[in-house]
Amino acid sequence: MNPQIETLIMLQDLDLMIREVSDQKTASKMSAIGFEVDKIDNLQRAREELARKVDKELLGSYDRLMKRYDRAIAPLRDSVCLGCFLKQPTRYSGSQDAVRTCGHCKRFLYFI
Amino acid sequence: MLPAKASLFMNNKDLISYLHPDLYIPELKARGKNDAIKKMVTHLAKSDRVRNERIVIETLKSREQLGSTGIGKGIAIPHGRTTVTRELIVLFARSTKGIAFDASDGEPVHLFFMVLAPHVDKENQYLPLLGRIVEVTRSATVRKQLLQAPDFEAMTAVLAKAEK
Repeated sequence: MNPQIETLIMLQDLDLMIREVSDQKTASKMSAIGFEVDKIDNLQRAREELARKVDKELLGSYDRLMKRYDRAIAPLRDSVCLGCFLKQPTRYSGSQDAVRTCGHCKRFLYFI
Repeated sequence: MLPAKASLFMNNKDLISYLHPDLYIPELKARGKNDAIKKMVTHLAKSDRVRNERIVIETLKSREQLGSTGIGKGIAIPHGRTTVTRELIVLFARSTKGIAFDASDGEPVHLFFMVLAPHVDKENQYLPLLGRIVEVTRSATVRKQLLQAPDFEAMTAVLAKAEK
């Protein structure tokens, strides 16, 4: 997997975690179960640290995609982007080391 | 309207339906929290349940920054949602000696339930499952029996009985 895509996926997981625990209803459920969920500031700091490892241009695209969609990164299976379910050019198959984006929705792609 | 806590445990499958012999570590050997997480994730990766070890480790370590998932009484439930799994996964690991995991009561952890879920959880099983693990392990007898169970079958029998 391309290292930048790998870091972007880590960032996406972290952003979605922050989003989830920032939701009062979910946070209440987690607390009722018995988990501590109060140190969101730590997650924000981890997010900033992780974001610094991503190329600025890619990070800009990622942030725009996260605002537009629920997720900025989608799996690519059998040449189909599983974000928008449209087929990608055949050349995408097998080239897993490059940063690829969907030709239609522009989401970043990772191969599965 | 049901109280919040009761609604947590609705719409849930039995915990044992998520357990598999290949997701069981009878004796986890680790030097602290990060090492324990790494070893459990490596075990998961070997079973082909996750696509990228580093991403899962990062996600679980981030979750620990929110607050320790060591909930006390020798139990830890490291958990998180990740892009690199397609299914809800539970790995169960034990440590007879106990592992320092920054638990809420400061005690070492002997029983680990690692839970991973995809971001899209259509059946909404993730939170109820976490709640179920906490409920089942609340009993000191169950915790003791889980630690003493000689094999996977005996361990699932303890949980099946506890879930009734």
